[in-house]
Amino acid sequence: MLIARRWSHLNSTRCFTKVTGKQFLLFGFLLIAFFLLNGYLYYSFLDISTIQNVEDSSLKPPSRHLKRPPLYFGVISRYSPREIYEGYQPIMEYLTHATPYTFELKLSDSYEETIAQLATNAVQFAFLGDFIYARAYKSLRLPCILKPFNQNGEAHFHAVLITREDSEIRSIADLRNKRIALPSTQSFTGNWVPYILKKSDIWPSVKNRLHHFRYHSTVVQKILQGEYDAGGVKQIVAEKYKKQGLRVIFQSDPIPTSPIVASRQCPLAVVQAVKQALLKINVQQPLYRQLVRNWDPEFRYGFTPAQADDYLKNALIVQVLKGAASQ
Amino acid sequence: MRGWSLKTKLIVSIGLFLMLIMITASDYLVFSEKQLLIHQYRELAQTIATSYEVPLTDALMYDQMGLLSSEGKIENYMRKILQQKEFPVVYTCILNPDFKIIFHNRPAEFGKLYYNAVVQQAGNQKIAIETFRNSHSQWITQVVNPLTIANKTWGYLVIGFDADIIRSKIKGLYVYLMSLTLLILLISMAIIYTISSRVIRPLAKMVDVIDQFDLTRQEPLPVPETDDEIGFLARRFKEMQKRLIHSRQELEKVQKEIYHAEKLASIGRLTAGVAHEINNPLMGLKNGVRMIQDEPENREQVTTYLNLIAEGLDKIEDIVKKLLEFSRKQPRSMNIVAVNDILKRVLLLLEYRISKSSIILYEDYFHNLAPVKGDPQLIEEVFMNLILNALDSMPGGGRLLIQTRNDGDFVRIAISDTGEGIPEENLEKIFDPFFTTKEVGKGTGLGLSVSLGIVENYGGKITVESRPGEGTTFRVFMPAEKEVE
Repeated sequence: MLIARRWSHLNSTRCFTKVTGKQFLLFGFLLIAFFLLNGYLYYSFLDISTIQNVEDSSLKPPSRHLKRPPLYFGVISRYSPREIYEGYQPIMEYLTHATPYTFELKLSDSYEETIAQLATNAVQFAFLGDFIYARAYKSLRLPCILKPFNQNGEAHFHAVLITREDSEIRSIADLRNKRIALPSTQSFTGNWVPYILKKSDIWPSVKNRLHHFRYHSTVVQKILQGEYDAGGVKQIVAEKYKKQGLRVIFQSDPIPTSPIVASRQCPLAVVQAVKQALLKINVQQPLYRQLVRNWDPEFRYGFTPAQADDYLKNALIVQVLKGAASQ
Repeated sequence: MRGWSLKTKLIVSIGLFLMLIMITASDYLVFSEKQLLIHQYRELAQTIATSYEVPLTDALMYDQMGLLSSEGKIENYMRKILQQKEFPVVYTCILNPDFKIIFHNRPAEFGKLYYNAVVQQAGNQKIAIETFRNSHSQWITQVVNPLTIANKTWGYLVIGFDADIIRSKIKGLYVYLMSLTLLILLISMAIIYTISSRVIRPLAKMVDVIDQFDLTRQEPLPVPETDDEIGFLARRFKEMQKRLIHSRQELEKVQKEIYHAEKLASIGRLTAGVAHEINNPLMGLKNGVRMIQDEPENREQVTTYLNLIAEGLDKIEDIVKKLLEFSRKQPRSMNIVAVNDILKRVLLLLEYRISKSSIILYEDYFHNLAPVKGDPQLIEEVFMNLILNALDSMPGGGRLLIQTRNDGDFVRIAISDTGEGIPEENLEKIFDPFFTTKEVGKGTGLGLSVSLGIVENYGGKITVESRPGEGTTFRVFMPAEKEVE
């Protein structure tokens, strides 16, 4: 009976775990802390800023200070303006760095416009073509100061006749009745192709199938696209696009590389500074190779002094000029 | 302070665990998605700005060089930028190399200088993209694309995209994930509730069985029959019930033996007094018989002595009857008991022992003493033990005080002596079974232990107060019965 009484006393208590007020408070505190943390995270998720104080009033734009008023280099429109800037702007930067002067490019809408700019000293220098230079020389007597080397270290190049790699055209004779794309009428190549075609018997079949485009690169594109069967470009342009499926079927005799010409009003000191800066480029040295890496391919192998006679007395140029004059 | 049931604990703990895991996972997902979205929209902004880089540069170049007519081209490009839907545009403009606005979708901005930290970054000829909150609190992803050809800067294309679209997607994803978390949580809680209810139901039944279980039962209570661990527990509990009932029966048997043994021991302690009680009338009987034998014819004397013999026999019969009543094994019963009467009856048995030991007895009974509920025999046994102990403690005489009082919900019986007292170190032990300070053969050591068991069994208690050399007081508290049957 004694045991029974004790058992019944124990039995009357439910043995549930007791949660103390302190534990309850701690639990509540942790829960609230968790939700507060989560709230903070929510607002931090919504903060997507990647920069602070964007509109800081203390920010001032850098001033573009020029050493001197810029001198301009004209470029005949043998390439598109973008191509010219990509290939020629680094030369301007080099000259600006290597001389006391600031140089900028001034593009023109045509070959003649560049000649006019030189004549009026709107540009102090210009990258011209052989043909336009030789033709303009008689009237303007523009001094020719430099010409570039090619990759073989020679100061001449070729004009070439090209077709698509898969074309059946293998020689000039195969061009009968074909559509032929040419660069500017003021370019050497644009006149050389009619010159050689005239010497063959296919001329009558193609003379009305010639079309001149503004840029050499346009000629290449038209041939690659199949709109034209063949075309004429500078050798260096043909090489640039050769991998895209071009084949050279004929090339001209060598002619001097394109001249850099100064305006007659350009101060001699400036001319000398430009000549010195460009002549000292020695691509045998890694520093210079690195320098000219992004230049137009025509100017990546250094320069040599040039004279007007280099162009005026070149037989092929003379003949092409004559051919052009006879039209 | 609260007690939580197993079901509540399961739901709360698993629910909380799930919630914490899912919210943490959601946060991580949102964080990852945020990075991805920012990256995607930066890419998109860059793609849009870059796609217009070449035509805008060419248009600017042609415009500035006066080579070809670019009239309207730049405006057209800017209109197209504004019209594209992939990443809505808030504003777009073109700056010249001196950071002046030369084109803007809001003509009022023309000619103003525009230079901020993003444009500053783009000044290094690299496209700059940043996301920020502007002064109008609009979230803007601004891309500034320098329009350059071979290091020559023709201008800057600035496009401000509405970056709030990114924030909306992050918000949407967050709300979606939190809703999903809540939904999964609710479903999980419902599943846990259902499962736990099923699991706990037999457990609750088990608790009921445990609540109902009483050692006075003769047979074990039926337990829930399931095939799981709870069923296993229930079967074990049933086995335990059987063992407990058996043990209880064995214990009761032993308890009865102990009670009886203790009672016999008490009787032994009474024997001297009882013998004397019987011896006095016996002497009278013997004397009366001798007187009758001497003068059998003296009828008057014979009659007188026969009456004296009868009276002596009645007295002996009365003493023997009381002794038998005390020593008899009677079935246990629960009665309403008048404590004062029980005390008087016990003292009657001890009358000779008290007078022989030169003990002065003080009896202080409360007249309106509440009755108590219990077995009169057991209660009598308690008082007998306590008073015998008091008498044993005063071999050379002393004072014995018996006092009864109502004390709240209890009836208090105090038995005080002026005996030798109990040493302090023994006070803790006196209720332990078999603890005795008496000589071997003079006490079983069970008296106080049994008495305490009896009193506690009735919901009462016994306290003791003693000073060595001055005396001891035992106080018995018995629950008072409110209604006298």
